[in-house]
Amino acid sequence: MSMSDFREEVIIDKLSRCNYVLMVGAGKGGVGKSVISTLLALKLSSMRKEIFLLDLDLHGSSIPSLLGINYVVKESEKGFKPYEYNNRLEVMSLKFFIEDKPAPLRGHYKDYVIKEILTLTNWKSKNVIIDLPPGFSNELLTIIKLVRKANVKRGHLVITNPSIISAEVVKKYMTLLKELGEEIIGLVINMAYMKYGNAVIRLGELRLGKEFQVLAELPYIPGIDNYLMRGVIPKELDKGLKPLISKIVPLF
Amino acid sequence: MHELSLADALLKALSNYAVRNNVRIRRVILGIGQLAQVDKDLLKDNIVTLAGVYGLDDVKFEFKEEETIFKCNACGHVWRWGEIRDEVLRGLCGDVVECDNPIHYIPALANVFIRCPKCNSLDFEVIKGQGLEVLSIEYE
Repeated sequence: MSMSDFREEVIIDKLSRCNYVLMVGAGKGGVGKSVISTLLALKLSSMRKEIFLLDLDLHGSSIPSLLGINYVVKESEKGFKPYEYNNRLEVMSLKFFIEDKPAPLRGHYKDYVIKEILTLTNWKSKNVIIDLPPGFSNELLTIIKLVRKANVKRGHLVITNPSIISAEVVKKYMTLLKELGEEIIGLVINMAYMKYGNAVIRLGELRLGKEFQVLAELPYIPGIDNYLMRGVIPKELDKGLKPLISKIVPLF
Repeated sequence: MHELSLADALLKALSNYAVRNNVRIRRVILGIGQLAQVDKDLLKDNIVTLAGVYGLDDVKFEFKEEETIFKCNACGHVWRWGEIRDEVLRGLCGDVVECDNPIHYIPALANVFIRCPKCNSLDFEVIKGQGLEVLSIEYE
């Protein structure tokens, strides 16, 4: 008898001990998945929720930069230590292993990398926020497979911007999630508007079908990365996040 | 240190496997790819030391070291870890003896740090001997 992959056994065991896994995705790049994952992690950890923020964007890792983290992974006897941003927010990213080098990984190697990192990362937080990369490939399919096998409570937050080309991809992404039997907790339209003085300028108009439940519309904030690097959530964005936070808090 | 966490993860997986399938594991054969740069003796010691914690004291562990072989997707060249090891480790650590490096932690990151010796391509496969694998389990 053989055991197909001992790493999967360990990951499933770890995930099964978690309370909730929130996957933040879009299928489309550049819509703000990493920014929203980071905002949620900062906000929820400030509300005394324990968060493990996992950056699965192997090629375009952004979370470490957004949080101003410059960390090279350390190992304890129980495995890789995630970066402790504060006492309720742990972060793990491939960037902590390879710094700024590009990762030219074919699909099956992405699986290996994800499994190696998750097998040996020793996180303590009960709630996991996963920042997914663009695309419908290994990262998405592998994490869904593992989370399902762990039978942990889970949901997907889907992000779009207000452009038609983004919405087209995001609709396909949501169709795929539904076909996989995954629960979508809501759709967020990011960069939906910006404030200029007292004026509110809409940055696009999406006509989505009634089946798309829009949970929140968030403003475009110029220089958002500079705020996040200092751990600051701009006031307007904090206001926009409220319906999202109200939805997630009972789950966490 | 990595050998200790690998041993712990492996034993946890075997213990879960035994419980889930309601079996008593007797013998486990492990394959250790050279690329992972695992200290076989240290891994063995750690497994033996920790096995009791997971109720696996009776299990006989056997280790098979596997030579790592690469094949370039661009030019088809085939090469072995032994041919490039020292150069890769010097590049990563400046030292070929004491070198904790990302490939040791995650062998699948080979493409980040290694290039085809013939055409310098980063697009290659590890066709054999990548990392630690469970080759077989005997149980009753």
